[in-house]
Amino acid sequence: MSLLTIKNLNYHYNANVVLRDLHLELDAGQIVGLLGSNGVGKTTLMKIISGLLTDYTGDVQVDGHQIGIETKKVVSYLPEKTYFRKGESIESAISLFRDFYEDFDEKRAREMAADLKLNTKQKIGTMSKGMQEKLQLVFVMSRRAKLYVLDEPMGGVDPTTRDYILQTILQQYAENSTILLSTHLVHDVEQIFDRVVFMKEGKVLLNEQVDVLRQETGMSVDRYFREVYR
Amino acid sequence: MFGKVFKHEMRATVLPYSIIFAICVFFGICTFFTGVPYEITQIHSLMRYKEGGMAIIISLCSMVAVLIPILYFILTWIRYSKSMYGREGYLSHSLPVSSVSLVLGKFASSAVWGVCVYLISVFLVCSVLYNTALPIYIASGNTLTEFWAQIGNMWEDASLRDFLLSIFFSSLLHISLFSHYIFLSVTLANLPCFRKGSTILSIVFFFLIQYIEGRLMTWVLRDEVEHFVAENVVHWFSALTDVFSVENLWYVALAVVHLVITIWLVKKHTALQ
Repeated sequence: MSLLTIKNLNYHYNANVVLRDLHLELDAGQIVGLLGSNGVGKTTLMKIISGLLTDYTGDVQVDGHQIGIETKKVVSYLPEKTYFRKGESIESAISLFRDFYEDFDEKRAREMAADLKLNTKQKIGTMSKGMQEKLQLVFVMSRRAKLYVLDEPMGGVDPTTRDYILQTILQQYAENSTILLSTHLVHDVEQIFDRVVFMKEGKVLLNEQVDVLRQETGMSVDRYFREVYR
Repeated sequence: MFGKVFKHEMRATVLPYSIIFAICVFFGICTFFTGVPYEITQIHSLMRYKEGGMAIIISLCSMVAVLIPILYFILTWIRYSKSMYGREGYLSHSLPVSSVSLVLGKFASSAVWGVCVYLISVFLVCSVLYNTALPIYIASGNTLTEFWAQIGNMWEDASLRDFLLSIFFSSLLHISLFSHYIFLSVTLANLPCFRKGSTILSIVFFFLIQYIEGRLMTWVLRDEVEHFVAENVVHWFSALTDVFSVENLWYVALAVVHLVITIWLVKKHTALQ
């Protein structure tokens, strides 16, 4: 059974059709790159999978469940924006994750926060934007989730932070889980992808294993991406 | 999960309310003591030695008593908007929590703060009344013991006591459940069909709901309806007749309806853009 199954997914934003008749199936145990130019519906798709948009039509299932409480238990979502309260301390955020997520590994979160040399009493609002993003990633990756949905985790960060983020994702990735990661930095990230999904005009244009794609096109993912979206 | 939402909501709001309550208690105590003559308390009040000091502190205390419910209203509005439709909404809506627990947890938290705000306001009003009434009473040659005896006598008057209790409970009910208006207005303004100006829209919805319900209220409070409720509903709660007046029952019914609509909208029409 596929971990993620999407059939006939449609979503419109007033008069703008964002997703049209989208079909996608992903199995467990792979890192998937969700790629496409701006405005093709990557973020919208991720929001639907994470339960942030409910006014869609079509069938979306994660681990055999329709989007709802059961899927939120197994999906760990990293949005583009930082979502912790500025006045909240790391300790308080740990308490929140511990209370709501059964799969939250508190020990791992504390270790990763310590690696970042963060004091758990520190207020999140006092940290730099880059540090807040790192911290949010620490929380998201500290869950033993089945599906990680990471929306532009490397958007607008410096190369050092980018390395940290990539390293964290790879270190915390368990083989039986799936990571769905959207990015524009295809060249920097393509080495970690097992599979790529190209989106265009609200549809899945391509859903292929990276090795097969490279073999068939004779190009790197980044090069092929540039060809497609030229 | 309701309990967890409630706990974290209380934690998220405790700081601003603590500061506000601390200021209120300070003003209340200051007002209380400036009203008590030195002969009784043996406490020197600096404010009393200054010309007009007492008047200033009474004015400030009265202002704070009026401002605190307004601040509660604003804080509830900001908190709900931010936590549901701001950045924090990304976390709130991705938690494995039903929309019922999510909305009711937030509502329960705001109701608790509403009760606290109300009690603090009552304390401030009582401080002001005490401050103004006691010096006049003492100046007329009476003692503090006589003052409290007089208050006790007034409390013995059943009709006055019932009237005061009725106002107290009715106001308490209204302020503690008031956030249902805010929740519904903000939720409506953030429906997917409205993309811009959600703050203005939520204000528009807030007044629109009040207006429609004001019109409905005049229909509900017709004599025949009032008699029907008095005979068929209030009868069952005879011990709490004052609390379960037609107006209060209507208000509670509205709160329930508003919360049901809010929960349904959150569940079916959430759209964090």
